[in-house]
Formats: sequence, C-alpha cells, structure tokens
Amino acid sequence: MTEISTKPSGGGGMLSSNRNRLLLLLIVSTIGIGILAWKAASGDISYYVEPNQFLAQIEEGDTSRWRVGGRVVDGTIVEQNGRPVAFEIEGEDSSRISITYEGIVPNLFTAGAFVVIEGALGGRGETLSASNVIIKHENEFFADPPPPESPSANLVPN
Amino acid sequence: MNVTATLGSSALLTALASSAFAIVAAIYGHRVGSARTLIAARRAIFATAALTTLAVFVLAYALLANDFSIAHVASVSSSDMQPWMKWASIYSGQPGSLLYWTWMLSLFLGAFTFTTLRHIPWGAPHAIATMGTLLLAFLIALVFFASPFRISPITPLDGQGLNPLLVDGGMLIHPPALLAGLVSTAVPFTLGAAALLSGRLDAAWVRHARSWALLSFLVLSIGNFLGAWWAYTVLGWGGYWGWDPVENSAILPLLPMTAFLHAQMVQERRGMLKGWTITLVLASFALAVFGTFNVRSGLVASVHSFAESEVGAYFLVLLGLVVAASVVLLVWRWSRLQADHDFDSFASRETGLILNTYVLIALTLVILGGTLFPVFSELIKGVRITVGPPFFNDVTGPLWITLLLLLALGTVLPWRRASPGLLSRRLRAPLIALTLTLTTLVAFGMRDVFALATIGAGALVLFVTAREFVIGARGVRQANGHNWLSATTSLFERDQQRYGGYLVHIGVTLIAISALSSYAFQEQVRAVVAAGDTFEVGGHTIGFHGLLERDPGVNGISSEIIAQITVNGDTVLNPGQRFFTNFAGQPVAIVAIDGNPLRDVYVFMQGWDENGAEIQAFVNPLMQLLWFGGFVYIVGGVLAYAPARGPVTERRTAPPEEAQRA
Repeated sequence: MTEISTKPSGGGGMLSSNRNRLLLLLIVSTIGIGILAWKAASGDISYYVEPNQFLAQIEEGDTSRWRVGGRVVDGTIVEQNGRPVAFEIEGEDSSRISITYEGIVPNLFTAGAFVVIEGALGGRGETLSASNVIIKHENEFFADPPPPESPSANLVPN
Repeated sequence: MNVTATLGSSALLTALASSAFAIVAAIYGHRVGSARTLIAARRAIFATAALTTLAVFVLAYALLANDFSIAHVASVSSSDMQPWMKWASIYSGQPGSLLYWTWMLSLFLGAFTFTTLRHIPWGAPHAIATMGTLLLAFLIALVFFASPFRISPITPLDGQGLNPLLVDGGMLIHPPALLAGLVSTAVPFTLGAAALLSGRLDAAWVRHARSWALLSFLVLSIGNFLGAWWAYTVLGWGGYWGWDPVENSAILPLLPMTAFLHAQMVQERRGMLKGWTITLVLASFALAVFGTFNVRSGLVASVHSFAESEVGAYFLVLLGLVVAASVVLLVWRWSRLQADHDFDSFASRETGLILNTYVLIALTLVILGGTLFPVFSELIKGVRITVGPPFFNDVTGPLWITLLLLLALGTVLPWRRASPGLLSRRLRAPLIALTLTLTTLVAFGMRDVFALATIGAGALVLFVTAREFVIGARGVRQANGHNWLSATTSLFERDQQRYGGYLVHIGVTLIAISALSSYAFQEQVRAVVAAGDTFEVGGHTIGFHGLLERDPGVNGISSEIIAQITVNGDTVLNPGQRFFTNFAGQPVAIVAIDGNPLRDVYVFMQGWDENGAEIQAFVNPLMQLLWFGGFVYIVGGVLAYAPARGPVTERRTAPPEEAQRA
C-alpha cells in the first residue's frame, strides 16, 4: 500500500511538495487574471465628465465612449420633423458642447433640463454624437425641505 | 407633542442602551464568571430585538395613519397610496432602509441567540459582545444620524408619495429580501468572531456557522434573483444584470459565503483551511457593510444611490473598524489557524475545493476592483473613469467557466487521493458526453469559443451531477427495492447536504447557460416608427399601431402612455411610460414581454412624440431557463439545510454503491 505522505517528499526542490505546486499554480493564475483585467479595463473605459473637462481632454480621432452631463441650453435646440436632432448642453462654468442625436429624446427633454449624454466624438470636431440621452433626475435626498434654488424645490409639497 | 414619534424614538434609544448593556454585561460576566450576568446580557439582545420591532410597528402605524408631521412619512408615502404599498414605504429612503436593516439584524441575532447560543458555551460571552457591538453601531446611526421619527418643522398637507420606481409588486419583495440577505451575514460573522476571541478555532464554530451560512446564502441569493427579475421586468433596458455598483454590492457578500460553504467541508474533514474559513465569513460581512456604505455615500454613482449624506461617512468608518478588527484578531490567533494536515494529492477533492475557494475570491476581488475603479482612478489620475459591463463580462467570464469545471471535477474526485485508474474510469463517460455536446453544437454552426466553453462546461456538470443521482438512487433500489422516484427523493433524506448541494449545482449550471445565451446570442433593434410601421428583430416581426393614454388613478400615477405593439402579427404587447403626480421629472418605463421557454421577446418604448415612437426590442434566447434555474437552485438550497445537531460525529456513509466504486 502506498504511503500517504503529509510532509513534503524527501529531496530537494521547491516544487517537491504538493503545497508548493499548488501555490505556484495560484500565483501564475493570479498573474494571468491580473493581465486579463488590465487589458479589459484599458479597452473599456468610459469617462463621465462635465463639458469643460470633455473639451479639455478630447483629442481628434478619439473613439472612446463618453458620458457628459449638463443642462440643455435654451435656444440651441434644432428640430427636424418636430423632433430635436441637435442641441447644446452647458456645464456649471457655462462651457458648452454641441450634441447630435438621431433618436427620440425622453419626454421631459426641454430647455434647462439636466441631461446625461452617452456617445462618442462626432464627425465635426467637438460635437458629441449621442447614442443615448438620459434625463438625470435630481438625486439629492433632502432631510429638510430643499433650498429654493434647487430644482427639487417644486417637488416637495408643503 | 407627537406621541407616535416620541414612542418610536424612545424605543430606538432604549434599544441602543440595551445593546450597550449587552456588551458590558457580556464582558463583565465573562471576566468574573457570573452566569447571571451572562443571562442578563443574553436577554439584552432579545430586548434590543423587541424594542426595534416596536419601533418598526410604530412607523407602520404612522404610515397607515398618514401622520405627515413625521418627516420620513411625508417623504415616502401619500394619502392616495394603497395600504399594502405602504409596506414598501417602511424600507424606503435613508432612515427607512436603515431602520429595516437594524430591525432585521436584531431579528437574526435574536434568533441566533435563541437557538444556537446555548450550543457554544465556549464562545457565548464573546458572541454576545460582538452582537451587542454590531447592534450598537447601527442604532447609533439610526438615533443620531437618520432618525425615522424626526418631526418636520412644517406639516405638509399630503405626503410626497413613494418614489415612482418603487411602485411595483417586485419592489415589495426585492429590497426586504436583499437587505435581509446582507444582514444575515452577521451571524456567521458573529460565530467567527466568537471563535477568534475565545481561541476555540477547531471545527466547533464551523459546524454551527454552516447552517447559518447556508441560510444567509439562500436569503442573499433570493434577494439577488428578485433584483435581477425586477430589473428585467421593470427597469426596461433589456437585461437583468448591468454590473451596476449597487448590484455588485449585492452579489459581493454572496461569493465569500459560497466559498465558505465549500471550504468548511475541507476544514471539517481534514483540518485544513482554518484561516480561510474564518477570513471568508469575516469578509462576507465586511462586504455587506461595504454595500450599506456604497449605496449611501455617493462614492460611486449608481442608479440605486441614495446620494450623499453624513451617514455615508459613518459607515465608511464602521467598515474600516470591522476590517481592522478582523485583521487584528486574525493576526493574534494566527498560530491556531495552521492546518492539521497538508493535502495528499493534487487529484483530490480537497484540491478541487481549494481551487474553488481561490476562484470565488478572485471573482470577489475583480468585481470589487471594477466597482471601485472610479475611486482609484480619481485618486491616481484625477479623473473618474468607470469600467462597464464589457470589463466585468470579459474578466469574470473565464472565471465562471473555471468554476463550472471545478464543480464537475469536485463532484467526481474522491477525498484525499484518486488513483489514475479511478480518475479515468470516472471521467470517461463525462468526457464522451462533453465531446458529443461540443460536436453537436459546432455541427449546428456555433463558433463562439466562449459560448462553446460555457455550454461544454455546463454539459459536464449536468452529466456528472445527474449521474450521482442515478448511482445513489440505484443503490437505494438495490437495498430496498423502491421505485425510481421514491429512491431519488429518499436520497434527500439520507444525505441532504450532498444532494441538496447537487441540485444547487444544477441550478447554477442552468443559470450559466441561460446567461450565456442571452449575452452571446441576444438580438436587439432600436427603431423610430410611425403608426403602421413594422421592423424585424431576431427573426420576429414587431408592428407598431399607435399610442393611447390611460389613467389608473392610484399610487400617485397621473397618466400612462401606452404603445400598441404586435409580435409576429398576433401577440399583443403594451409597453409604455408611466408618469407620477409628485415626481414630474421621473417617468418610469413599462416593459412588455412575450415569453416562451425558447426565447423572450422584450419590448419597451424609449420615447414618443406626435409623429410616432422610438421602440427598442430584444430577443433573449433561453431567458426563462434563468428563472427556472434559480428555482432549482433555491429548492436545492432549502433541501440542503441540515441544522447541526449534537457533538461532531462521523459523516454518514454514502449509499452502498459508493463504497464499491472507491
């Protein structure tokens, strides 16, 4: 009957014990997973920015996905067949980006609405061609009634 | 004076005092060896549970009575809400969910104190002190940071009503189940902490932790399944899992808990992985606390977030303390966590389970890392970068497949050592089944490597697991002459952990196959259509026949805009959007699904105007297999539930056939 050994087998070498062999397997696997994760992360980066950050960081030929949040600027909405196809959004510091969109905008899309645009650099330089236009709802949770200047002020009955 | 609010606040404050007392009494009673003091400490845990329950009942009363002078009631309910919908109001919003969480924590810990505490005399004071600390931590947050009974300065005429997203049957069960699941990780944590504090690190704590860990595993899994189902049927983006940070927070505690359920077998049989089993239960609870912090802090933007509040910072500190305390305890008891044996052979179940633990930990770290990526990127590069579903799918995909393969291998490998002859005998038929499966798939045109690997691994697991049932049932028939059906069901009585576990494995495999097919073979089309238009998706024809408006008049709904859709000319679907009186900026999508076992046709309306609508349609193959797999999984888990009884005994021998195979 073969002896069941519970100690590293006699002789030299770091790989002589089962435990060390397992450890090696785990280390190699971890490195492998790490490399896989690194490559996956570099390939799938999405930036969420304000318009001024977008303008500062964008370079010609950029193909990555961007998400930019800003308010729709009054007077910049261009319509075709009754549907908005182009508009501008502006950030807190009033810097603006032009957006084009081929779908139907959400119902509450209007001048002054806060939107998040998902898309990639469009054909014309600093235009963002949107694949998705999302109305971002105010997500502050107010313990007290919201201050009057907040857009949520009109939502809390009193 | 508002009697209700005062009663509620007093109940919470007294609960806080009670939990503090439990800590002090447990430590003191243990120090001086006073049994009476320890009894008092134990009762203090019960008292905390009772008082917290009282607070919940008080809140429920305030909601039903429409007491809008209480700020929380005004923010999450309104007078036109149906009474049963107000159950959801209890755990809505910041104070509500925190109250619910603390309530569930007190109930779980109270149940543990009632049933299991007397079976761990070596660690009872330590356990009580731990439980008192956990309860105290959450009650502090409730009383000082987010009280559900705070009175607002001006009483509104009516409440704001429930957040639109919550006005749905699914939300009556998903959040309570999931929050309960997160809380349930506290019990194995308590046992692990008691073991570390008392120094009793043999199999004693593991035996009791096993049952509670399985319960936690089940409740957490149910919470996640409900979340996926709710996301799919309500949120309307065509999927059930978006790798959203809060979804990730919900699954993260489940992974170490699953690893624990498997690693504990190795500790019990071979005295190995002692350090790992402890670490896993500590990690599971830490991740649950992380989840609590994550949804409250605005740290990572998510569709679920409660957004920023001071409670967020408090939970970050709490998380830090939990992790720090765990590390200190582990280091302190390091010498007692060394293995009794080394493992004998690579070809053994021990190895399979060790690798399984490793893969689950890897999954945990990858998902955690991906979720926190924006935080690190902001710290290092100054800009918030998020990684999305492609990252998670690409990195975790191979890990899930490896997990399936280990599942199959672990079922086949014996403990300690497998001779080459044994291994080849046991693997021969499964490998033939695998080859047949892959050949068939390739012959039918499937070329995607990832899909082939997943389905191949799934086929292996299904074959190997089904074979276990056949061999087991055959053994019972030979011994007792029963028919196949009663032989199979009796297997669950003879060795419920094992066969229940096998059912869970089958469920997991079905889920994996369904997830793979709806990920790799999903078809989607987004079209802007006018009345009378049709478009094709995945071999189905979608027709749009105009819009109509309706007003249900309940639950704060002001109107609904419905699209009239037909699928392949006959099935009628009505997706649309729902608007709420008090939440003008937040319409909710109504999703419409035409499902059969082979595929779901899933349609929702992206937007509309006077010229037509933007319709998005998906065809999800094998979608219903996911819910069926979930059902099998839960049934298996429930059947596997075997409470620990008495002192550690030899494992029951398997059905006769098993002995001849060795």
